[in-house]
Amino acid sequence: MVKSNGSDKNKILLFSILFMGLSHILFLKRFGKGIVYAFIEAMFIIFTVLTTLVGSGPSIYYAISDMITFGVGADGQIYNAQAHNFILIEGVMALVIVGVFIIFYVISVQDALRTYNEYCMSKRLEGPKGLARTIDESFPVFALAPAIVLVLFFVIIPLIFAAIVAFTDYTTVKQSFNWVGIENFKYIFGGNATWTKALGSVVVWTLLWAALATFTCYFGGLVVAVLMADNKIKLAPAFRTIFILPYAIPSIVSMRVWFSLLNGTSGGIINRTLMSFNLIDAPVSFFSSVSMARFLCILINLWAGFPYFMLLSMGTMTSISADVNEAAKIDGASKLQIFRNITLPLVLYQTAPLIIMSFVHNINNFGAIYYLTGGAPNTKLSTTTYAQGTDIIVTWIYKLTVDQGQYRYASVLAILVFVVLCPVAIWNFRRTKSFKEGEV
Amino acid sequence: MKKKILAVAMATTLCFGLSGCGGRSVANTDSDSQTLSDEDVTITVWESEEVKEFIEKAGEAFTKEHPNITVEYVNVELGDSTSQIALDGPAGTGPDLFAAPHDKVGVLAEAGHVKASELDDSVSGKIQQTCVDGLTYNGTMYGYPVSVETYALFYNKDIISEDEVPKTWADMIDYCKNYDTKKSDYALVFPVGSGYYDVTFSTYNGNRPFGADGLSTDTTYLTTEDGLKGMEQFTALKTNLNSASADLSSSTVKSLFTNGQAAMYISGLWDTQAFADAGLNVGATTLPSLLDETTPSTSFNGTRAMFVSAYSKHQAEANLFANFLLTDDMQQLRYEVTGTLPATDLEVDGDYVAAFKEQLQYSYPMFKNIDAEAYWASYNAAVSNIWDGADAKSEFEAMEEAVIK
Repeated sequence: MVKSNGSDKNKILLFSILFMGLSHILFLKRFGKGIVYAFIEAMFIIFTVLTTLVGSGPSIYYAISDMITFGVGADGQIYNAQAHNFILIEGVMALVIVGVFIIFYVISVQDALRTYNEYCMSKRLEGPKGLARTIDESFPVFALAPAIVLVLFFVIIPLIFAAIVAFTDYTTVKQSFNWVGIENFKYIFGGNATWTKALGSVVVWTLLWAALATFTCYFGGLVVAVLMADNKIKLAPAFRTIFILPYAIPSIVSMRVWFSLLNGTSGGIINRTLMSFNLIDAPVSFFSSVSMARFLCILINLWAGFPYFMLLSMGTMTSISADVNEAAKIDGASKLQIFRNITLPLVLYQTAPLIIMSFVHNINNFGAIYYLTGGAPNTKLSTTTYAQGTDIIVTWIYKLTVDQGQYRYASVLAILVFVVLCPVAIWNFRRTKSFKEGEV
Repeated sequence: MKKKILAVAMATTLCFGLSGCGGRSVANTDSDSQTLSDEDVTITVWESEEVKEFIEKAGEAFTKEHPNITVEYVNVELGDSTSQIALDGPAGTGPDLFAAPHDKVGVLAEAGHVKASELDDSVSGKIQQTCVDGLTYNGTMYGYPVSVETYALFYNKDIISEDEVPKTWADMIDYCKNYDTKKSDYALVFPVGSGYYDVTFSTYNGNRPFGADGLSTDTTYLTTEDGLKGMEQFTALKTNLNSASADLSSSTVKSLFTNGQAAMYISGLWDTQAFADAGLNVGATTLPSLLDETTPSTSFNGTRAMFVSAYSKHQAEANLFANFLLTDDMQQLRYEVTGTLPATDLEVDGDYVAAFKEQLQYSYPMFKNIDAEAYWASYNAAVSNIWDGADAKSEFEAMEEAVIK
């Protein structure tokens, strides 16, 4: 038995490291816990060692080694004939299981030491606590376990898989692929002039698009909201309903409709209308030049996106006390002055976090671009990189994956988006009240 | 106590030490050859929605001949089957037989998703040679050709009479340039941004972009002198049809023609139902001839084939059914249901059949190498840019650099 003066700390540490739960069973009389820990380690050993030796059944060892070699043995023979993407995802799963096992191991060692410390303080070993008490005390663990398992398998594993594809030459053209290190990063960031140029132009346009789309929708919505609040406007509710309509139509429908309305042949309705009024002689190709197409993207996105900010601003404006406005009016402030010095600062103050979120959303606003122009028009770079004039990063990623199966380059771009957007999202989240007050 | 430590330590070392030795065997990648089963068998067939009726009827007829085999139709569109089989096949939820266009044969064969075809003697002699060529990849034929398609020139008889339809591209260019827009807005429309159609301008003097076998790996043959000569006639068409390539998508030009806004239209038999629905009076003829040539300019053709999945557990039955689809009765039925040309030498009647049969003589299979998807994207981007004013030579050179590795 262990002494209660703390001198056996190293012994506890050694045994709990030797085999999970060993100290719990041998010295600390925590049999239930110890058995659960020992069972976890036993299972782990079975699936790393036993199945590996036998050569059948799921083996964590083989899953990881196959991930490194893609099933090819040292002798050049193929030991795992599965498609390489399956091998890769199984390897990721195995790694996550190993990670979870290590976490369990650390927890078990810490738990053994803590229990021993308690024993040294109280000088007596508590026996098993009884099932009811154990369940009661560890209720959060049981309650959270399903969620954690789901997060592991449906969030963490796919994310890791998507990210490590950037280090392979994975394309759907070939079923087999291999590790290539940072070749893909090198290729896109400077290794290939055309790709680098395409990346530069797409990134610049993505940021420009996100900034302008957010800015126009926000101020468009705000201006309309201020106008709606003016009591000289008759039938304000009717206008409000009309203005909200673009927001109520699924954007995939309205964007496709806009695209066909703006068609540059005489079959396009806008062209045909202009022609029948004799305003133009020949149809105008709205999407023929990149800058024109980009301008239209922002304009049509304004049409579809301002109602959201209009509602938002109207909501915030109701919280501005009428006294303030009245006082300003009595002091002889003009409407513009009231807007600039009262409405705008107050609304802006309240909705600033949403502007940032909207910016992030617009960087990834697939539908607004893809369903409107589909990336058109082509540019000189399209022949090589498939990136077209109005493509933002996500639509480019879509083309690279769904159309071209170039997962390797798409993954590099996805990592780029993640690295850029993650800090923004976290920073914005940390600024929120609910986070600051520690309620999350 | 020390003994215990020692025992545990030894056991652990032993376990991990041994794990280094491989306990498993080399994977067996050959699937067994399969024979017909006497038991009840259901074979699953992936086909597009518009072919559903045909597959179901053919399945019924097949079950009459082979009572133990039932055919089950599952809707997977032609364009999706190749990516779908890559996932569903290995997972064991794939079909026994699936439809795919012949330009996927490279991807399917290289990845090992499909089996080589085992044509029955009764049907093998009847298949059109161009379909056999289309489905042959590195010397082996995969799949069973069920229909073949190409494009030709449709004209709206209410706008243009048969005699007026230009016979050469040079005449066509003049015709478009001097076209009276009172008759209709456009003379000739076609999806200018699609290499599938535009390839015809690169086929002067026997030049065959991507190789006559569709497998050229060292050059695209687009930048040859003969190839570029014809492209001048392509851009010269941009007179009456003065819109950017982005505006001339296949759906746009189709609606221009069906609305009576265009006199002529290059497309395939798949659009004829739309002409009938619109009540158009349409004729079809072969494509005009390039430069000083006297025969119609060469078009791409596409063979639609049924492939036996390499993951199928009923390959023998799937083979049998695929061969059954090539019999005259079934080819006739397929033509009646879908309106696409038979892949066999079966004679069929129809309004546009003569023109398309003739155009088929002047067509060759589109490319089918494993990078076909990348080729299409590059090629479409290149021809779009050329239509919009870029230099054909430099565009095609950029494309060649991008796709030929």
